[in-house]
Amino acid sequence: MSRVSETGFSGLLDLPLNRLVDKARDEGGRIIGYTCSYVPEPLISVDGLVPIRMRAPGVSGTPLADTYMSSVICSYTRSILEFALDGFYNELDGWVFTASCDHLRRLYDNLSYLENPPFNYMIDLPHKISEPAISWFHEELKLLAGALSADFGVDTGPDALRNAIAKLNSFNAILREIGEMRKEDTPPISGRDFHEIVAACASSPKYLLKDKICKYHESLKRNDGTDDYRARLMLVGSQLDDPEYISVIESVGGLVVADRCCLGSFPGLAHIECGTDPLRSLAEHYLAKTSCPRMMEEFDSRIENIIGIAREYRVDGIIIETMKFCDCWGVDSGLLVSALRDRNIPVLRLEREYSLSGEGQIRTRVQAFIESMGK
Amino acid sequence: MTAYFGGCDVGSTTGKSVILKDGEIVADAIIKSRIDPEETARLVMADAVSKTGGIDRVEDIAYLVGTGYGRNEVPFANENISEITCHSVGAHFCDRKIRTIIDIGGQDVKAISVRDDGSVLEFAMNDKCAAGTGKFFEAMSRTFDMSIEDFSRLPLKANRLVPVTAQCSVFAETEVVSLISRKKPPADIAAGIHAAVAKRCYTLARRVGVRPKVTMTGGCAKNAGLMQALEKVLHSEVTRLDYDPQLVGALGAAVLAMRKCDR
Amino acid sequence: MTVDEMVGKPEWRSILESLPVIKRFFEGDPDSHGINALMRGMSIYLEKLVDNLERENPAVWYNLGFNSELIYALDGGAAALPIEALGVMHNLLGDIKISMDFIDTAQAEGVPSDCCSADKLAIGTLHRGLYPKPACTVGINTPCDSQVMATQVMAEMSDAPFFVVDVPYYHNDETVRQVAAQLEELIPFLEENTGRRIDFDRLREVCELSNKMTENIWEWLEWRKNTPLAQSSKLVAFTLILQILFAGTQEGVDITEGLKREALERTERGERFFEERVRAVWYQDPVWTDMQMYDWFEHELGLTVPIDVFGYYANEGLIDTSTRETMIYGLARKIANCHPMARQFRSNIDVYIRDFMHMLESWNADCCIFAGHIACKHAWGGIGLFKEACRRADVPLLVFEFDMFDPRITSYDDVYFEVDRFVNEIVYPRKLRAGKAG
Repeated sequence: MSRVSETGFSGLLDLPLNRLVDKARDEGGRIIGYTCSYVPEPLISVDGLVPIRMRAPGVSGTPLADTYMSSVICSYTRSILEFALDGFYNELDGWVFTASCDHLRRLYDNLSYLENPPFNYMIDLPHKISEPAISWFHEELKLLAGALSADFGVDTGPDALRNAIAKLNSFNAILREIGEMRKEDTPPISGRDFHEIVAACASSPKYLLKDKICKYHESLKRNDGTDDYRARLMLVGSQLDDPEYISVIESVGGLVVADRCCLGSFPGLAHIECGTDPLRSLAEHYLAKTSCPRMMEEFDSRIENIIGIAREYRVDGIIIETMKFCDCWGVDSGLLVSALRDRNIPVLRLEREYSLSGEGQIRTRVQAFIESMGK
Repeated sequence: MTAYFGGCDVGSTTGKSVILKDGEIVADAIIKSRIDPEETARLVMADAVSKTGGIDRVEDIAYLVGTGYGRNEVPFANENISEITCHSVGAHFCDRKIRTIIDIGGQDVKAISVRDDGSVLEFAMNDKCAAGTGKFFEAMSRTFDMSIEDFSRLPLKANRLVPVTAQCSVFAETEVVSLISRKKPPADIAAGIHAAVAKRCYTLARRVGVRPKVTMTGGCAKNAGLMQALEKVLHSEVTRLDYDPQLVGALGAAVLAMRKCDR
Repeated sequence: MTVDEMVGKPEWRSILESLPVIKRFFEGDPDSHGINALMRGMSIYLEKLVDNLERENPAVWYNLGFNSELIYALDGGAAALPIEALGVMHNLLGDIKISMDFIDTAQAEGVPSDCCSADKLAIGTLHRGLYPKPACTVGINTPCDSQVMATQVMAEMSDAPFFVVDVPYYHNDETVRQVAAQLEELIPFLEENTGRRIDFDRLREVCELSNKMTENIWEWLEWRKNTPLAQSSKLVAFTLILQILFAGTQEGVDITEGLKREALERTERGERFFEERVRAVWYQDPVWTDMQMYDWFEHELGLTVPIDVFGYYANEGLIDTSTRETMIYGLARKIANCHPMARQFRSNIDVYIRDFMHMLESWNADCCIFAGHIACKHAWGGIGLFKEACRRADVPLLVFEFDMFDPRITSYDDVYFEVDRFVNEIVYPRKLRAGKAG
């Protein structure tokens, strides 16, 4: 299979804010940056708001961020702070954070103090999915909705939200269908390319990409796919927004056919059920479906979810990639590894930094992993 | 004509090759790595081929497997296989009872758990840190101003162990300089360094589970001080293979080459 | 595992055998009411633990963000077991090699090296199967991500029902109400799983003991505001352990009485074993692995630590024992707003900085020593903002990295060196220049 990108989406990943973001701004859109999958995208998509998942492509060191956050903090948050201090996000109209982890909480604090963005909002995030927790999160979303209305004069009423949810659902349905093509014996798309598309969509105003995605989807239907791989792999981990990481994995014969990453097909592309109170529906959906190890009662359902996907996509083995200094994924991966081994699912754990490095080591490990499966 | 099978292990500091005939090792070679891994591979293969007495050219080898970080660069190789698999197969070829391998190469440390058939059950590698690798020992022996061989024997003369706490090679160097300046006996400091490295290897090995027999492979397996320190933390014997531990990766590659053609 | 099997394990036997020896050792100095009371309290805790298990009373596991009152309120008795207990005891009083083994076990089981050693101690102990099987477990999300994850391991390894107390991000009354609502659910959970009842009278008794302990802590800490500090620096950090292990017990009251009495008597006698030259707020983490380091600071450098993060207990009021609801609310407020670390770490960095400034002023400190436990990511993530706050307030600040439970990360020598240089080359000369030094 060709490892060179043929998706036509790669140009959207070179810059922290790409040309489509500029276009949306020119058309009067207000750009809201966010950093975590728990931020309910439809709420920051209403009435001309444009959500953009923050990335720091090509970051080549974080000297300034290190002086504020030290070097024992996850390199994703440090990279975002570095780029913010470098002025790469000056065009943003606002930021929305969730209190997901220690690192993001402190990113918010640093950003508030050092950059004082015109709109910088933190919503709390419960650690469990009980009824009271959903109500609590719902209250948080109400407060955010109020703040968005007050600051941007946008309509966050039920109809506007219903509309935003429907749009996101219809967009994600296409991405999901593309992702599901990877169940085939000869998938028409590599893991690298799929990841590139998902990352490009998260980094761009979706309404400007819809046609392109539809066309790409159609083109894949005409593609015979490839059987040139040694093992079908699933990738499990947190914030990954660099397709080249998967490229390195695939360069030794692994084909990534499924994933559970913050920017991947699971759980980010799931359909949002919209009930009578759309804000409440968002609280339910995002709390229950995001599936981060930070949730305290969900280990069993998370592992069953991962195993379910692994079976559905007929994977030979699972690679868990964790960002260095992330306690949530770091400790969880130890539990995951033993739980998967107990079920005789081959598993490899890789620790990484936000930006790609040590490709040689990754290749050796992945190759040995594939060999150890007898592939 | 009886076929020859080759394994070529292109590492960061040395290139190794092994040639098999009738299931027996007939030639091997070790050279210092050149800047270009392809050149290292060519030279070390030519060296081994010249010792076979049966063939003159690398092309005469029936099947050649490349391994090591430069495994993609081995000319005439039919296939490349990761050094993790090769060390597992190589050590198992030397001693069928080996179940755990600690491999210390120039740039990394690996722990490998071996299945009964010699294939890899599980492995763990150190993360982007030179502590405990060949490069680390080179740097340390420079700090002591002695050859790496002398440095590796130094702990055997220690009366006690000076704790060296720093886990990173850069900090360890600073710490060692300060210990030397405080007039701590060099042998005791060296013992401390080796104990710290052994501890790291042991921790890594525990991640894959330590099952007997345990052996060490890679260039640093020749380090007597380290071997002794490792036995101390493991509370058990570390099996010395009958074959040069530095060549085990190349041997495994050659064994895998031979099996390819058996099938 | 039977009680005999448990106490027969070397990791327990060593603590059970060494504690009485250490206790007798300190009894040699009858004026040291604080440390004597602490040692007595620890002995009683262990005796009660063994006794509870012998009577086949249920055990409840929990993590260090939680306070013990509700467990002690279970009528008929239950063993309260913070999962960090055995590892921390070995680190402080027992065999440090055993606690290092726990850390290594956790790492061998896949816990990353950069994770908190307090949690590695807990996870290592769990993997070695050293705790009696619990009737149920209680996990709380404070103070940090690492604790959140330790509770996941606890839940997975206990094979017992798991209850989560989730403290919100904000520092307001709504947060306390949220926690109180969860404690209301926790009570029937504990009752159901332990087969014990929490009745109103028993709860009030426990809350009154808890209040008495809290009052003692506040009074004790008041005495530590005196200049020069008359009581040993190293005692202050124990507030946290008291709240985790002794809240709601007579031992908690007795220990804090001892600490208070010692501070009072020494202050009134004007006793000084050393000359106080510099007072520091020790911010972030105590050097648990070598508490004697504080003695060295005092005697060699004239440096005292009247207060630190683990010792500071915010005065947000006592538990109102008039009704069941007021008691639950009071317990929730303790957990969310007063419990050391949980108060400062879970929320915005402002609380963290504000508390520091309060300690600096109230305990008349000259400087700040940021002893940065390498795994405290919430603290390191705000280090730049903390430095700037200190600079604005014109407070000399020392920042260094170490591990509070693992001396293999930064050597004692390195810590001595950093603190020595800071005191002698920066803080003391500065005091001399300002005419504030004796």
